[in-house]
Formats: sequence, structure tokens, C-alpha cells
Amino acid sequence: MPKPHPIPPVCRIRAAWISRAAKARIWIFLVFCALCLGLGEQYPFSNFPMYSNMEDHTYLLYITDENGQPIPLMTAYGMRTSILKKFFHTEARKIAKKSGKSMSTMDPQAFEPAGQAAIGRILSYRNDLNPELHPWKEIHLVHLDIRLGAGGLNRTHTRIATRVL
Amino acid sequence: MNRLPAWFRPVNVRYEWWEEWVMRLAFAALLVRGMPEVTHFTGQPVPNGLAHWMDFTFLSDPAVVLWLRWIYGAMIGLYVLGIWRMLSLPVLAAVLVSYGTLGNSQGAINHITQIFVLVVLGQMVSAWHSGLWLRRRITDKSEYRRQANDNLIHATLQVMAAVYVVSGLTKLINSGGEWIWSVPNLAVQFAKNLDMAYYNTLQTPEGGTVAVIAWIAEWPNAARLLFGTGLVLELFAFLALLRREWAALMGLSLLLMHATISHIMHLGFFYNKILLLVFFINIPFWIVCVARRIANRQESGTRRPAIAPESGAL
Repeated sequence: MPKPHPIPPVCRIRAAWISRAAKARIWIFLVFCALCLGLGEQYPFSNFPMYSNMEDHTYLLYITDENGQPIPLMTAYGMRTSILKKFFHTEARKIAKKSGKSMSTMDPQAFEPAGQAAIGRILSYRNDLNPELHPWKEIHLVHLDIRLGAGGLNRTHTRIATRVL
Repeated sequence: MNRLPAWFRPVNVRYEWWEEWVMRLAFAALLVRGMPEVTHFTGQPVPNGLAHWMDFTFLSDPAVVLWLRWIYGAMIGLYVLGIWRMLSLPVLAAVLVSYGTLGNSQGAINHITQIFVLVVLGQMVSAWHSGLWLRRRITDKSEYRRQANDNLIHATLQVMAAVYVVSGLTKLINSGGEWIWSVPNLAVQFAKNLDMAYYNTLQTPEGGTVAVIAWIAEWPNAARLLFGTGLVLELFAFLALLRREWAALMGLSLLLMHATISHIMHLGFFYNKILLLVFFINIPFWIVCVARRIANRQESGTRRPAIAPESGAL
């Protein structure tokens, strides 16, 4: 009677693959691919989702003063508009989740609490900025929707939050 | 393996001592950029990664950061000297991961430093693998050092390739395989980036973004072909692990892709570009390779291999 092999067939196949990966010196490549895809956005690992799901619409946020004049966010508060959007998006997603709707189908004004939180972040982002450089009395957060239509790009500006300073 | 054409046969690339030094110094320069600074983040409102279990706000304490700077600087010194990597790389990785985790725990995840910190982690894994396993297999000290150095560089290439392949796979997964079909929607993303750059400083950014948006609208299939090439490049970045020629070719192509995106979308890709230049393209090797080839031809008038075959160049 033949002696049973000490390693089960499935394990033998796996061991062969591991051995091949080691010989081909790609085991670090395989491990890092698995970790990045498996863990997703857990720094320093990431599945790099930027521009992975492109829709025909997007949005950004900017701030204006009480007269509706845009304020240069980076120059005035040291924050990039991309960071502002990410702050806002994190809060807005929670609101959308609570209401059980998709963010893109909701009225931007429904995100007023997220807008207020985002303005709070702007004001506390840097503590080394000179307040005298900020003569405005109000900050308005504006949602700029960009959509690709038949006639090209359409932009819609909606004020979603105001903070009196 | 032998049935494969020569260009697709993997080569166990041996790096020359001066190549390894150039790469080590260039990477050390990147490490210096990550020198600890007092951060203005005093909380972790949306924890990410290790911030779920650890509080990294100690990085806003000047006294702690002063100590960290000394330790981090000393570890860079060890890294440059090529000694005690099993100690230096974990410390460097721990500091860099701490800063990145705190920054990404503010509610806004960015993808600026991931490739660099992942390379540090990859080098750390390679250093530990060499120290614990390779040392037992290779008794000759100089051969061990050379193999450990080669493995460290190859680990860097593997991590970089993994980053690009994962990025390509995510595009396919998240779009349900229809990424190339949805390329014309990139016009919306380009417009968003242009507007974002404007609202940062109220200065109209330079570059040909407006023309590119118009071009995409007019020639959607040409845009699919062009940007689809970028996706293919990402998915096949692992070819760089086969041999030097593939590494240089993929490096140049990916660098061109980043430069194009930087021009259109105003995104930096600093670490990607430098790492591609240093490790994938490896300019010093190709300069020496060409110079030796010319010198050999002038000497003998015949075609002889100008560089050792195990160096990995055809």
C-alpha cells in the first residue's frame, strides 16, 4: 500500500507557487499587491482609487467673502481646495448615508452641516496665520457642480454654508 | 522559461557597486525630505490606518520632534553607510508611517507619499530577509553583501511595480471593467482640477488644460486610446522586474505619463518621478553601458559584450 504523502495536494500546489515566486524574486511584489488591494485606504497601504470610477459629473468647493468675491483658500488659510473637498466629502457622505440617498442626487443645500464643519476646519487649519490679513467679515462656502452635457461642460454655483466671523 | 524570447526571460540582475551607491544616496536624499518637523495637527478627527489604535499627535510636541530628528538623522547616516539596515529601516519606516498616518487622519486622504513609504517598508522586508535567511545561505561575506544590496534594489522595483499594478487593477475593479469607455468623462475631472487650482490662489494656472478638454470632447476615441495606454502601462508595470531594458522602458513611459498628467491636471507626483528616474530608468548605468560599448568597439573593432551578461543588459 503506497504511503500517503505528508503534505496534502492543495498545500503542495501552493508551496510550488510560493517556491516559484521566490525563485522569480517576485514575492515582495505579490505580497504588496495583496496588502494594497486587501487593506485599501489604510496608510501607507492604498488601492490608489484616484480617477478609478469616472462619472460625467463632479464638484468642488471654494469660499467667498460677504460680497461674493472668491477668497484664495491656499493663500489666505494655507489649505488647498482639494483638502477642503475631502474634509467636506467625509462629512457629506455621513449625511447622505443617514438619508439613504446618493450624494449626487441630493440638493447641495442639504449638506449645510457638512459645510459648517468644513468652514470650521478652514479656520482651525493653521494657527500661525496673521488674522489681520483676513479683512472679510463672513465666509461663504460655495458648491460648484460641474457636469458634462450635450453642449459641453455646465457649471452650477450653490452657496451651502455661511459663517459670520 | 527558455522557450520565451530573450526579452521576456527574467534575469537575475547584478548591480555594480557604483550603481548601488548612486541609488542609495538618491534615496537618502528623499529620506532627508521626510525629516521630522513639528506638525500643526493636534488631533485625529478621522483616524486612518494605525491611528485607529495609536495617537500620533505627539508629533506636534517640539521636544519629541527634536529627539526624533536626532534619531532619524542617525538612521539616515546608517542607511547611507549601508550598515545596520535591520535597525535603520524599521526606525525610518516607523517615523514616516507616523507622519503620514497623522496627516491622513484629518479627514482628507492624499496619495503623495504612499509609494515612497511603501518602498521604505519593502526595503525593510528585504533587509530582514537578507539578515535572517540569506546570511545563513551565503557564507562568503563580500558575496553576501553584494546579494543583499541587489535584493534591496530589486525589492524597491517590486514595490514600485506593485503600486502601479494595483492602481491599474483598481481602475478596472471600480469601473466594472469600463474605465477606458468612460475616459471622455476625464474632461470633467480636468475642469475640476483647473478650477481648484484657480480657487487656491485666484491665479489662472498655466498649461494646456482648456485645450485638452476641448480635444477630448472633439476626439473621444483618440482620448480613449491615449489614456488607455496609461492604464495598460500601469497594469504591465511588473515587466520592469524582468530585466534592465524593461525597467528603463517602463520607467521612461511611466515618467512621461506622470509628466503629461502633471501638465494637464496640475498634480505633482514628486516621489513617483524621482523613484522612477533612480530605480527604473537608472541613467548612470546606461551612460556607462554606452560609454563602455563605444570604448570596446574602438579598441578591438569587433562587437563584444561591453558589460557583464549578469548585469542584466542584452
